[in-house]
Amino acid sequence: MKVIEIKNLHKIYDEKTVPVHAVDGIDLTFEQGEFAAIVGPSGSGKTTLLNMIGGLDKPTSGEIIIADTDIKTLSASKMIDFRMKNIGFVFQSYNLIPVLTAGENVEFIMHLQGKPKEERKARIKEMLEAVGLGDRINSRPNKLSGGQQQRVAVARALASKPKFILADEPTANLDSKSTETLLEIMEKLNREENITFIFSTHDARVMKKARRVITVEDGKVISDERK
Amino acid sequence: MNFINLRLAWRNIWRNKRRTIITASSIMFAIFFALIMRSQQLGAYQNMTDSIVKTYTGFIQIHAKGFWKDKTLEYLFENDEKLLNKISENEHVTMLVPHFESFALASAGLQTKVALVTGIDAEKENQMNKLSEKIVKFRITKSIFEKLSKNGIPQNILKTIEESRRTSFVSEIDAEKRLTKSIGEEATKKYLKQILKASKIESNYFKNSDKGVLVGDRLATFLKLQVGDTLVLMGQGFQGVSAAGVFPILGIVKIPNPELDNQMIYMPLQACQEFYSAENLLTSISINIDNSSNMDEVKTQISSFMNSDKYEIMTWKEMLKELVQQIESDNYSGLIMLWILYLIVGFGVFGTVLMMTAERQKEFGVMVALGMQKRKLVVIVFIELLILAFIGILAGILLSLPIIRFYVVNPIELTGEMADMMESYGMEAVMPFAWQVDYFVKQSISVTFVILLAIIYPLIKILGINTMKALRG
Repeated sequence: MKVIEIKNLHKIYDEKTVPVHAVDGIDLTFEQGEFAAIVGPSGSGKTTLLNMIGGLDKPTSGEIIIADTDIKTLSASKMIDFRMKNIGFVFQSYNLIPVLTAGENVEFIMHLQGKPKEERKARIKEMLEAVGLGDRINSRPNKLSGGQQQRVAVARALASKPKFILADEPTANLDSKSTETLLEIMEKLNREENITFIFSTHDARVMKKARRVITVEDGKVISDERK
Repeated sequence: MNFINLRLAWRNIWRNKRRTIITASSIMFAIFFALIMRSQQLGAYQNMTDSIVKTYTGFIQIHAKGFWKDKTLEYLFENDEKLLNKISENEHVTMLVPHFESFALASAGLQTKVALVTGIDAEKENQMNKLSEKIVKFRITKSIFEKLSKNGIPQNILKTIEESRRTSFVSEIDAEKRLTKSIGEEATKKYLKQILKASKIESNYFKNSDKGVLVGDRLATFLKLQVGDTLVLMGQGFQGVSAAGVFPILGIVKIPNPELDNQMIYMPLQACQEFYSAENLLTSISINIDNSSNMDEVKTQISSFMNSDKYEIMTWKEMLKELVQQIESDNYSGLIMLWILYLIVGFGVFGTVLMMTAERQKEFGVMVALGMQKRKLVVIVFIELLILAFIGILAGILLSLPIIRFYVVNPIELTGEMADMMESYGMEAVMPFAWQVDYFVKQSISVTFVILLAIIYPLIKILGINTMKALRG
C-alpha cells in the first residue's frame, strides 16, 4: 500500500536572484512498512526533500500525495493539522519540550489530537516501554542522556499512530552504543508493528540497517536500492 | 483550556526563575508604588472634601439668588417649611441644615477680631458634622502651662507640648493620643493625669433655646477667652440695622479646618436671626446626600421645582472652584506620574517577553511541526504572561495593603512648614490614606492593560513564526 507518492518534485531557492535547485524533479513512492534511508552529501537536498514530505516546506512544483491528499494544496493551518494526524517526526537534536516529563512529551501530540485520558495513559506506557524507558516516565529531558532523549522522541513520534515517521539525522548526536540501541528499537517497531520509517542520514550504521537506500545528489535521485 | 496547556504555561514561567522573579517584581513594585501614591492622593482629596464639604458647605447649598457672589445680608430667603419638606422627599437627600452666616466684630477685653458668626440648628448641625464631639474638654492655656510648671512638670516637656500646638483636647483619649505623639508614651503616662486635672474646662454644646455661643479654639486663644467669659459682637444686620450684643461663651469648639477655627462663632439659629434682625430668614440651606455620585442628579431634581429667579442652587464644586481646580491639577499630575511608572513597567515586560519568545523560537517551531496550531501557542504564552502579571499584581497589592491600612488608621500628622502650608489652604495638617476597593481594582486593570499592550507585538511574532527557520534555531 502506497504511503507517500512524490511526482516530479522541485524546490528552487532564490528564484529571482541566483536560483538553487535544492530538489530537482524527484519521483518516489514509499510503501507501508518501509525502512528507508535517504542519503547523500551535505547540500544534496535530502533534508529539503524530507522537510517537504513533512509539510514543513512547500515545493516549488510537483506533487506530494499522502493519504490521497496533495499536501501542497493545504493551507498552513490545515497542514499543521495534517501533520498532527499523519506524520511523526524525530529530529536530529531530539527537541523534546524541556518543561514536560518524558511521559508528558509522549502525551503532547495525543493531547492535540484530543484523545481521551485513559487512552493517552495506556499509550504513554506502551510507547515508553517499547523504547525501553518505561521507568523514566516522570523524568524531565535534562535528566535523560542524549540516547534516552532520542528514544523518547521516537516514542513521541509513534504515540499519535502516524502513517509514517520522518527522522532527520536521528543518530547524528548519539554515541555508537545509543545509536545501536535506537536503531534496534526502530527496526523492531518497523518489523513487528509495520511502521514506516524514512530517514535522512550520513550514518553508515543507519544505511546498513535500512532495507531501502535512496541516494540523492544535486537534488536528484541517483540510485534507489532495495535490500 | 486543556490542563496540559496550563501546565505548560505554569512550568514555562518557572523555567527561568530569576527572570520571572525580576519581571514579577517590576510589576509588583509598579502596583505597590501606584497604590501607595494613589491612596495618599485620594486620601488627601478626601481630607479636603471632608474637612470642607461634609462639615461646612454640604454637597449642595440653596441661597437667595446672588448671595454666593456678594455674600451680604441683602440676599436672604425665608425658612419655608413646605419647601424644606419637598426637598427632603428626594430619596438621595439625607439631611437639610439651615444656616445664617454673616460677619461681625468680636471683641473681648483689648482684643478684637472679625469673626464668622454662624447661626445653626443645634441638632441638625450636630448630625451633619458631629459638632458636639468637637467641644474642647481640656485646654492648656498659658496660665495652665505656668501652673503645670510649678507642679513639677519639666520645662522641656511643656515646651514640646506648646510647640506641637496640641494643647486642646476633646476627650481624655484624644489627649492621651495627641500627647503621646508630641512627648512620647512614657512622659504621657507619667504626666497625663496631672495635665488633664489642670486643664479640664466646663465646655458644653448648646441647645436651640440657648442664648450663648460656641467659639473656635484658635479664635478663643486669640481673644484670650475662656468658657463663661462674655463676648461682645458688633456688626450690621438685615436692611442696615445695627447689630450688637453680648453673649456668654458656653463652649469652645475645635474645628479641624484651622482657617475656620480662627474665625468661627456658632450661635443658635434663632438667637442669630434675632441678633441680625432677620427673623425666620436664612443665608443658606446645606444639603447632604447619600452618595457624592448622585450630586448632579439631586441638584437637577431640586432645581426643577424651585423658582430660579428667587433661589440659586449650587454644588460644592461650583462654590469651591479653587479647591476643585487644585484637586484636578494635582490629580492630573499624579496620573501622569502613574502612567510614567506604567510605561517603564510596560517596556520592561515588553523586553522580557521579546527575549523569552526569541529564546524559545526552536521550541515553538517543534511544537508547530508536531501539530500545534500557532494560535494555541499564542494562548499558552498569553496564559504564561497573564499568570506572571497576576503574581506581580497580587504581590503588589499584598505588599501595599498593610502599609495603606496603617496610614488609613494612623494618618501621618504633618509638622513644620508642610503643616503650615496645609493649614494655610484651610485643611487639617494630616495626610490620611484612602481605603477604596475601586482603586485597587483600577490600578490592577491599568497594569494588566499595559502588560497586554506590551505583549501584543511578541504574540504577533509567534503567530508569524516560520516553522522551518524556527526549527533551525
